[in-house]
Amino acid sequence: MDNIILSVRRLVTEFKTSEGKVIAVNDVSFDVEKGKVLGIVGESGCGKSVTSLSIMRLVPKPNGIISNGQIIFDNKDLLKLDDKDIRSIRGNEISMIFQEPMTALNPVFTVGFQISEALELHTGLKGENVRKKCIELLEIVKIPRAKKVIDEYPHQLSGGMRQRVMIAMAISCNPKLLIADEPTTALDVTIQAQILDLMKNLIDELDMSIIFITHDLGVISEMADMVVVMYAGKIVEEASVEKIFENPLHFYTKGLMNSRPSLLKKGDKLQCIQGMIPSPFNMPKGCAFEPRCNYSIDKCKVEMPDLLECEKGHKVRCWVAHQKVGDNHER
Amino acid sequence: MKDNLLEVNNLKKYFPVLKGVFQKKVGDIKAVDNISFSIKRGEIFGLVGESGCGKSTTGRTILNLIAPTGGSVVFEGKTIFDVENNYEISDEEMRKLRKDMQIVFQDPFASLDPRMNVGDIISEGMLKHKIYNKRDAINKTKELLEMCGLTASNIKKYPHEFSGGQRQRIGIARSIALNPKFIVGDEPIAALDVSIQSQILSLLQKLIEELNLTFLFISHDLNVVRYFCDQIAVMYLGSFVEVGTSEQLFDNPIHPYTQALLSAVPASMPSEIKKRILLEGDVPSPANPPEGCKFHTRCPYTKEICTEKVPELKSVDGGNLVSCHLYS
Repeated sequence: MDNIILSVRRLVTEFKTSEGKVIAVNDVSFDVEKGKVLGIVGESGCGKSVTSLSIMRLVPKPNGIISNGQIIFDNKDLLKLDDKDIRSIRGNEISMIFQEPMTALNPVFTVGFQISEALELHTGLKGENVRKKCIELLEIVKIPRAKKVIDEYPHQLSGGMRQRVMIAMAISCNPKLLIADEPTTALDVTIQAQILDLMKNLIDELDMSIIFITHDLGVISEMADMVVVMYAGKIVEEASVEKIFENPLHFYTKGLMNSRPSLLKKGDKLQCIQGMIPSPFNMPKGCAFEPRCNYSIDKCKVEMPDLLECEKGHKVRCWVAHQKVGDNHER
Repeated sequence: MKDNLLEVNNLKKYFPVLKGVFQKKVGDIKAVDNISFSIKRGEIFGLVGESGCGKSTTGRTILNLIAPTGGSVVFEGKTIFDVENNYEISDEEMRKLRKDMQIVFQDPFASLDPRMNVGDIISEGMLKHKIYNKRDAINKTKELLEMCGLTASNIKKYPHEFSGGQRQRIGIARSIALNPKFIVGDEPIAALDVSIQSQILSLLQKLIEELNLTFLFISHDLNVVRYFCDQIAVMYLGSFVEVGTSEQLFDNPIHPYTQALLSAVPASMPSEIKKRILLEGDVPSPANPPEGCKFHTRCPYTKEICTEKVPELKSVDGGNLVSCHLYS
């Protein structure tokens, strides 16, 4: 298909630890459409960040191994490229913004130096032109007094400004795909609103696709077109943002939605998901969410359900939801 | 009318800025700058604001965990300190009062001693205050663990054996061990996952009801505060800009900062996305706050008077207390 920029197929990423093997990402498949925002939601440890690191081929070696799957970007399988080829894509055609703008920037180099590094490498611009382009980028991300900030060090900037610098760096080579891993989690709400607003404008202006990773459903509802919900390394639900919010099918998604106090009036009882995510060393045999699910049936304990389409464009991994649609999806 | 459990008057906390070899004082960071409020018995008072606005410092100064620069705090009719009148409660008395005032911290990984087991952590206070002997303290600890949703058999385990949510439950069990009347929750759920947040929040709700607690809830999460608190104060650079009941404040925010803050909260449903008020720039440094109204550098409605005079916190139409020249 032409309108798909990135296609992840059956991705498995594992980590070797002293206590044994941990499968952080387990058979994950999804597509990112051109000019659209894919939101990945999940709690800590569900594999959302490892998925993004796998796409960038940045899984820490030698303990992390991508053991299966394909990541097709621009008709190329990123997992088959050698280090030199992946370097020409990373930061150029696919770039990334991280959660902590404090630690993602190098404290001993100026902002300008850090932005120009990728520019010089990928675009071949030199000297004055690089500097001009840097100032232009800082102005695109709406940094006031860009001409001065370019010679400042990260510690002289506030959290919001640093995240803007990170974005400037990420868009410097006009990437086709931007991976944003919890870009606003460390920021205050008013600054978060500024950054989200900026990112929305950039999508329109630069015609890029975004993978937006977060645990904040509110942010997802603002930003995403398609949503993937992850739990314990697997995708449990996948649909458009409207469907996910208006008609969540998986009990985990429902639980997440209901545990937000934003929809409650004062005095309403708070709904919670009981229990905790299972330990990666001791995964349940059947559905990973079964121990916390109030609606589980016998089948849930013994067999992991597949991710099946229950309504058009709405996939879910749950025996109960499958049963409701009838037996047409039995394989 | 319920009586006031806690009264805070003109509280100030300045941190000195030191410079040079002789550590000469060159200025002050006004972390908390002249705030007054009272909390009624059984009430949940919410303190919201962005990072660095002084909400945690307020909580700690009230508990006399850090020395105040000015103002007074009265707890149950007993003055804890009154800087202007040179009064401070004796150490002996303060120790007695500590039983009644407890705190739950934000980071459940840093607030539990890794070398103490859960039983020791929770029962330490009971033994120090000689409320129970050793055997009763153990029984009480087990009871507390069960109350907070853990099993009593966990008593011999160490903090590293627990997840974040469980550790926060231990922290809460510790805070209620002495049957306190008043608890400060300093962002008690900020470090936790979404599904765990709601678990801890409903635990707090249950305990507040059962134990008849009065609670000062410090948070930056506006949705949680709206749902959880009775009274809410919005802080900006060490001062209150608006105080009101949860309903008043969220249905009818008056101060331009409150309005911007509320509109910055992401929509809960895609269908509810609305036009927002975007604030320009960042919060100014508290070491060098703007003259007059501290918000005037980012306020869309700044008038001349805002740059000159600090607005008073006054009631607008009998509702919220607001500190803004637009309404005076």
